[in-house]
Amino acid sequence: MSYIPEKIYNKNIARFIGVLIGLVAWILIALNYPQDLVPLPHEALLLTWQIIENGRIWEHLVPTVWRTVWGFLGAMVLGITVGIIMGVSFRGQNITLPYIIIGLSIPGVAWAAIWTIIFGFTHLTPIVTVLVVCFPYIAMNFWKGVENIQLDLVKMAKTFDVTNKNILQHIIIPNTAPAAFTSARFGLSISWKVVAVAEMFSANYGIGVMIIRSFELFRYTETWAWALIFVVIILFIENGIFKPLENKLFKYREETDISRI
Amino acid sequence: MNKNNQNTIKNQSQESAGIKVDSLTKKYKTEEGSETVFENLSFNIDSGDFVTLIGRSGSGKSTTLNIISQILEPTSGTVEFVDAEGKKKETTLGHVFQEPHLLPWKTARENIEFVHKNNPNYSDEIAENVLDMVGLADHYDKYPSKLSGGQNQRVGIARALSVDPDVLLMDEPFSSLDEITAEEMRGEMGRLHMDLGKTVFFVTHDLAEAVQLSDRILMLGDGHIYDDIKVPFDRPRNMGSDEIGEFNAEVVRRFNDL
Repeated sequence: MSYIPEKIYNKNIARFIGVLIGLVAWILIALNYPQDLVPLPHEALLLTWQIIENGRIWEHLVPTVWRTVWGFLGAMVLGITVGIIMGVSFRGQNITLPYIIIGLSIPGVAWAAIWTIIFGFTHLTPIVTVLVVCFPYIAMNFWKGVENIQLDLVKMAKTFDVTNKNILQHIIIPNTAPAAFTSARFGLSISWKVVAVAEMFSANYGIGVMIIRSFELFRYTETWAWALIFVVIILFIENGIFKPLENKLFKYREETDISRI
Repeated sequence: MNKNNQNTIKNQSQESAGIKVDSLTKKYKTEEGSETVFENLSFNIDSGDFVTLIGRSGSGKSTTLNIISQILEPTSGTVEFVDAEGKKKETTLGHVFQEPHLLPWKTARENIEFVHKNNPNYSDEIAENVLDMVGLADHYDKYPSKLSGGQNQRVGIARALSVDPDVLLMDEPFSSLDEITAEEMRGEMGRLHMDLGKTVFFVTHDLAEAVQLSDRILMLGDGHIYDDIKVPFDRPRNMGSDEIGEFNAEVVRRFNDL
């Protein structure tokens, strides 16, 4: 039995409440710190809007997006390949698992430093940093997805003489799609965080550069404003790309709200 | 179930095949050597008969069915499908499993279409006919998550019927359903058998289910068929009648004879 009023289940109201809680928390923190350090939400948002309006955003956003996309795609290809190897063979699992554990245990900032030493101030540094930091997470996720392939469905298809091509297309791929989707969602959100760190080390342009530069110049409101751009982008990716795609691809799934059980 | 199913049984041939199982042996390799599931198992099933193989857990019922359905290779022995004259026959098999094994990302109709991917003559009408037959006329485009356990098993039966099988192989198809739904499904299965006349090889551990559905009951235990009982009642069977009750008790007694 649920004690939460029925209305709260309205998605828009729930989202509004979520945003409201965040804003209230931000305001409370801002009021307890010097305003130079933590601006109020409207001040940071106003400055974000100015950055967008005067066009400064593009010279930094474009390289950041470019580096993120390439690093993320590389991580997806490598992560899914390694995930498949781990899922289908114990030998493959034993060979690759140590690299996954090493990858998961080294912090992104350390990778950024290592690749800056190797590649210097080039696009390669943030791209490779994103790839190396993200791929272990994607591989782990996809590994579990491959392990969970419903072999009973494959056996069923075999008894009806369904070809291997159709088994791959209609059972294996849809069965691993949720894992691939979660990997993509997870990988992309990590990519944004990692690319900013890598840019702080190795780039002259990019949102990460602007965040660290404004911080070093004690323009903290600007630091918040550039950070908010990441939030806007992630919200766009989540609600503009992932959510609609998820609703389309996984419409067969039953939505479950555990609090209502 | 669709009460007008007599009008909806289309495209199902009345042909079926018999099964000749000869000296079937199955052994599994173990660390100590090998373990025999059964040895020299032989029986015949006439075309159009509903035959149930019954036995305790681990007796080799499902192994026998899997060998007949060509999922497993026997260690030795043969399985042949024959026509009414006893001549060897190319046979289409329809499988119904303990769980429905439906693809959750496909609707009822698409699940049936899936097993016809190599069939150039497939049309939506085939799926609709068999779904009508099992009483799912209003559920063509529903996903398994939107159907009940019994309805999902009906889709599984419809999928098996959609290939117009000569022999229907059923591995404890009602064991995962609640008793009320299972009882309803047994009634439907009996009616489908009467309407379609398909040969059915059915595996269960439920004696009453075997009596309700079968023409013959084969009892498997200790690696061999130790009893072969003909069920002398017309269908549909009233399981509450004294006559069937007594017969049921006799079957239980003979089952425990091993």
